[in-house]
Amino acid sequence: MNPRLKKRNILISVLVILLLVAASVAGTNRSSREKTDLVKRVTGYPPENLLAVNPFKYALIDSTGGTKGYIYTGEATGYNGPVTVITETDTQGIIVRVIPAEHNETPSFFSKIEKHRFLLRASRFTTDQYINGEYPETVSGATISSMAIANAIAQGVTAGEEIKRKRYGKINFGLTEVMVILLLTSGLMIKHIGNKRFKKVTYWSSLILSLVFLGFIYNIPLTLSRFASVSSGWLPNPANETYLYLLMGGSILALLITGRNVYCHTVCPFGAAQDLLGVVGGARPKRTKFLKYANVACQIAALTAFALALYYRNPSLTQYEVFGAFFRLTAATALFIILFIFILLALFMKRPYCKMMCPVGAFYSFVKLLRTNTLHVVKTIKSE
Amino acid sequence: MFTDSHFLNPLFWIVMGVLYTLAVAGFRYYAQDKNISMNWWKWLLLIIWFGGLSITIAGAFTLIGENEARAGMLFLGLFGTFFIILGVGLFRLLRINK
Repeated sequence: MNPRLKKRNILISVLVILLLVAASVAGTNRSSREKTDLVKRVTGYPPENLLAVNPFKYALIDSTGGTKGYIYTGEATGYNGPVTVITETDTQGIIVRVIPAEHNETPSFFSKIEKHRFLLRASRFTTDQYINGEYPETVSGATISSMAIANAIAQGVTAGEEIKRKRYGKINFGLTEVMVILLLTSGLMIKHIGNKRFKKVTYWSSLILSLVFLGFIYNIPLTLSRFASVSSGWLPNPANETYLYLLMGGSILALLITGRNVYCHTVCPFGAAQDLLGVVGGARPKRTKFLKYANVACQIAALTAFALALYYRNPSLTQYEVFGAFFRLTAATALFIILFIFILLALFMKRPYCKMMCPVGAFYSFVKLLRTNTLHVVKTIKSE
Repeated sequence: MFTDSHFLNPLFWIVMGVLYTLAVAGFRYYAQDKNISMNWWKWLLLIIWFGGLSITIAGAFTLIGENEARAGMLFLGLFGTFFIILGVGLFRLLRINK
């Protein structure tokens, strides 16, 4: 590579890292400054009626000075970071109401929770049931968010009653995890397969498996918000999302070790969908100046969204992907229009969404750039 | 369409019939101009596709007309996109075996 280009790339990498670190630090400070007393604000009870028993439990005091119930605050990790839930009970532990006080979940998915009356169902359980690990059935299509609400209620109640409880349940290793490992392994193997026909068969099998399982059945394509959420320190619950650790960790590790973006190439279900559309329409790879600029714009947009998500401590700011619209038919109208345009484009050119819009691809290209530059710097130091 | 009008309603369907006839007849000449050789199974696939697309448009606008705009748009978006993709694939298929 041209030495000037190398220098420019290193400078870009350093600037991007500085920007992200600054956004993260500023965001953390900002968030601690903005923390207010949620219970008083959300429940609407005057301060004189609330008596703090511990940081997770408040006693509700009536006009005669007696206790008429309790309020618990709990937190669990949802799709886009923490979900804080306030649970109000009577003195017998019967839940009166459940209020999701603070969350960054995607509105179109969170509305499913309200539509399926999940909060009402969650309030029909007693605090004892939550303590014993009995939760209401989650909402299909908003599984992670509804599970986060149930987990937050359980966390609040157990912490409020000072009962020791494991923060995360048992790691769940099922078909999803097997599928993720299989797809990552086949993605890594493809490059080393000599037989052209077998290589093609492996590639297309991976894509179809990914589209069907990761896309339509499990609906778990990687999104930038998951990276933003983890970068903000909100780790997903390994009991419910073991696959996510495998998918994120495996793809990043593969990229760092081999320098190949396995996820975008063979694991991404929307990439698979675009490839299949390309087969129908006879798509050809295109290299134009417009595409080059569009790719740069896509990377800048992803970086800006990521920095904003870290600053505002809100990973949902990075959610402009079309995956929800394609696999779940759940998204804002604008995203459906964008999806339609990219479906039409994918019929005639190879993977237009990946080249022009995908923030996950932009994130991986940055990791790749970082890897290349680090290797270059290490090599230069060694040679000197 | 125009269900309240004794003049516009039949006129609309006459115009629709004319347009459909022109579309089918026009395709024959289009295929000749583009050197696309048509045989019975190509015509069959084309008619099935055209019928499906027409039913999608009619179904979606019926839903919209019945004050189910969201369902109509979803129907049009889902099946309309599906038929556009099929149409592109079908067009490539028609050009095979010129």
